[in-house]
Amino acid sequence: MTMKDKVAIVTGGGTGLGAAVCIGLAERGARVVINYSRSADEAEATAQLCRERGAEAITVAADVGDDAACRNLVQTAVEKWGRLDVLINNAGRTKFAAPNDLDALSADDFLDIYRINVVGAYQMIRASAPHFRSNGFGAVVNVSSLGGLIGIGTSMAYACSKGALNTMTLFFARSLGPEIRVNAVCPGFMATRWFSDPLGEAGLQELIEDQERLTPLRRAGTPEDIAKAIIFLADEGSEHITGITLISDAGMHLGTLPDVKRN
Amino acid sequence: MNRLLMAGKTALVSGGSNGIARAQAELFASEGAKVVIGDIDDVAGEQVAADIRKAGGSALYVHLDVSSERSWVSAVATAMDAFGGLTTLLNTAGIYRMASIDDESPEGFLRMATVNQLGVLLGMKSALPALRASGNGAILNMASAAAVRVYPEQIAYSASKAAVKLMSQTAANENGRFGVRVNSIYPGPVKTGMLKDATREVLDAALSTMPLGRMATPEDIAYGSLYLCSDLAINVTGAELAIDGGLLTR
Ligand SMILES: NC(=O)c1ccc[n+]([C@@H]2O[C@H](COP(=O)([O-])OP(=O)(O)OC[C@H]3O[C@@H](n4cnc5c(N)ncnc54)[C@H](O)[C@@H]3O)[C@@H](O)[C@H]2O)c1
Repeated sequence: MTMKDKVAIVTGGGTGLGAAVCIGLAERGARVVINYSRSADEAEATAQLCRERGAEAITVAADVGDDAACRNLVQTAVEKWGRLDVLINNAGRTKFAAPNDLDALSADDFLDIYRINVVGAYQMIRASAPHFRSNGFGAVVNVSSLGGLIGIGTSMAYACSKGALNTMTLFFARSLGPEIRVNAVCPGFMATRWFSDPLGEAGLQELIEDQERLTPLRRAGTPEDIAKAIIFLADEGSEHITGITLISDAGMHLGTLPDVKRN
Repeated sequence: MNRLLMAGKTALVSGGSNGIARAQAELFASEGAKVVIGDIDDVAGEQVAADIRKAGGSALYVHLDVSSERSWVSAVATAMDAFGGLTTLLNTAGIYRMASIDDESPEGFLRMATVNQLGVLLGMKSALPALRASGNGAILNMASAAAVRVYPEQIAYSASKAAVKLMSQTAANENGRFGVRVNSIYPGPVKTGMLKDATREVLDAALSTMPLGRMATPEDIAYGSLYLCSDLAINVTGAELAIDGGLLTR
């Protein structure tokens, strides 16, 4: 399938997974609106990579926790290309906190994370919905996490926010159909700056080796893997899919079996 | 970018004479897979294979009764002989019948279990050595929304499909390290011959609760199947993909 001339907004699109999604959308011919909050240079570099693939791309600054900024982001896309077809709610944040250290998270830590991961997604969908409706068509993909399904991840506040995002996905799938489809992708692990920024390259390497030892597929996921799942759900071929959480985790949610020999 | 998604792969599709599996076989072939269609409906199956060949694809039909281990062994051997290997197995053949607990018989219950549940076990068991040998194999089992939610008058069907769900995840966990991914799909109502005996009331009740408000086409199911069986989903195993118009959000 192709996404020729479809207009897609990717929040947090300058770096990591968001950048991989933008490039994947560009390769399918979509026009991409790359949102960023701080990473202006990275967003411009990602836009350049989209253009090198023959697609149109613009960058727009917005903090998705700020409703006026969300509305402005959507308005900018619609003014530029006259329509909106796809929204990828990818912007997200966390605070690393050891699971057994109950003092590591303050009330404000929770609220800061919810403001982006939960309220941000809500505000983006609210701002986009009228344009999807006037199209008669729209696809939202929320970037959630396996942590939101099984209660793991960088912190309690983060896992709870993704649990809320999964619930929002169900709620919106029911209330926005049949014109608008709303789905979520739940990555298990992805090697990105999400981990290397706080843990360093050595810390990231350790996590990769854990994945290669412990997951059923013996594999560490990449942003490109997750981007493909997101694009699958955003694509027209998935027009009968709504309200799902698609897990891409090398099988991590199945648990680890002891080693057995097989030929 | 325009590389075919199933280039270099060979897929064995059970139930491929009709319905969902036929759409899977046709889509996979158009994406470059060599396909072997296995079914008990020989006339329709030969026609599907001939149509795929006429459209420029590689396909052959083999008689396969999924409830017979001998039949599976010979279908896998035919695929290996014809195309030199097997990378992909689609366990899509299945049967459906409405019956309440009061109306279900031991024979009826076992018949459903034999085709829908044992059939999937035998398919995986027969194909896994070849899939592992391929170094990058995938299995896709057809479950149903009925595997995870309660619908009236289908106790035997629901039980057989719930078994397929757990069997898929067991197979995924056991075989990931040997280079085989195993996923399952959960359709809601799909426009095929299977639902010819479903009552209007049951279908309408389902449709009225679906956010997308329409039945799936076999092509809707085939498209999700293509994602899961292609290398696009190289990081995906043990996943449960609902293609159901939102039925399971209720
Ligand atoms: N149609 C739906 O609404 C629906 C919903 C959920 C799940 N499913 C599942 O999808 C699968 C395909 O269903 P469909 O709708 O395409 O039905 P269908 O009746 O159109 O096709 C089923 C195919 O399986 C074959 N088959 C039956 N018994 C067999 C056996 N013992 N060995 C080999 N082949 C055999 C049939 O000949 C037929 O070609 C089934 O597993 C079904 O349970 C269908």
